[in-house]
Amino acid sequence: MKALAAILILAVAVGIEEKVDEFENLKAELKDLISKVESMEKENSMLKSKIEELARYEKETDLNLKLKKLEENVTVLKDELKDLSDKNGLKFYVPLCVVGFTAGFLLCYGVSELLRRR
Amino acid sequence: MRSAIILILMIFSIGIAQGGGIEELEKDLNLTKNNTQLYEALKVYINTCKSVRSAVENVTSEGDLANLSISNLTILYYDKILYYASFLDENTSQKIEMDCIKAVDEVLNSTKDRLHHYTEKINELKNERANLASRYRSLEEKKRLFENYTALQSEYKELVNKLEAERKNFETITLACLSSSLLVGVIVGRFYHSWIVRKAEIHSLFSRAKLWQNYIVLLVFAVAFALSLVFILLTLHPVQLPSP
Repeated sequence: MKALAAILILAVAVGIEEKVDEFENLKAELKDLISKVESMEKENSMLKSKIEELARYEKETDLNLKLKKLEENVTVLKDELKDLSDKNGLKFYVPLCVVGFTAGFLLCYGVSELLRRR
Repeated sequence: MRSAIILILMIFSIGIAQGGGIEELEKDLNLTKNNTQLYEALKVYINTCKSVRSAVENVTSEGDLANLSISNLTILYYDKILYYASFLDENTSQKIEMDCIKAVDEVLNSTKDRLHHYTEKINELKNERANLASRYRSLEEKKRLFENYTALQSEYKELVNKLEAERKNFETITLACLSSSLLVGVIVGRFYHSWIVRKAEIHSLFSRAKLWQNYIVLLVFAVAFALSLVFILLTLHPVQLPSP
């Protein structure tokens, strides 16, 4: 029991000045930790507010799939538009006029000839 | 290593708590009632330790730590206490000295507990930040995709409108070309036939050569009609809008 008391006395009987120094060191460490906590709390609250701003996108699902499908549709539309633009020119209208003119000519000639022969 | 140190500190703090540093020192006050100066010094010592301990326990910001100090215990009171305690019997003197140290240790342990608390808090905050960051990244990605999707959707609508307009334009021009050329063809055909008939009437015998010329004209027109029709049918193919 005496030996235990002696050990305890040895354990605690460190110079008071050392204790004060230790306190100062602990205080500095605590200060450092508190500043870290404060900055981390600030960062987290910033992240939370950013997340709140983006919360409306949370309900959006399968966006990748939808985007892919829409891209395919846009490609199809572009192709069709190009196709239509290619058609929409003299290359198409000249033969069309020829068909119209010759059809009208031959039809009228034929009908007139038939009428004449009767 | 850090957790081992914390464990040692906790065991040590339990030892101190059992010893009851500040409370023990308060009990010592009864032993020093006959020595007013020692009594006063001990009281100040106890009050300083108590106030610093409670301040440390309630510390929440850097500012709270600024005025916290136990350094005056060394210069002003500890030496004084030791001096006046030396007039008491050896056991009491030693007890007071040890209890003074234990009281300071109690303050140190409170500070260490606080440090431990803040270390744990930092770990919690780190985990929270990691979770928040991952959620933020996923939402950012969703936002980017959604913006792309919206832009593409408006491009799609624009393309549909453009295609509709082009189709309408194409159909109008086609119809106009066909009807006007047909009309011209009918008029020209009518005049041509009249001219041929008049020629035949003037020249009672329509020469064989002129008859062939007439057939050649009709044949050329028929061939032109057929070729153009084939070309147009090959060019045309139905335009269908894909479902959005």
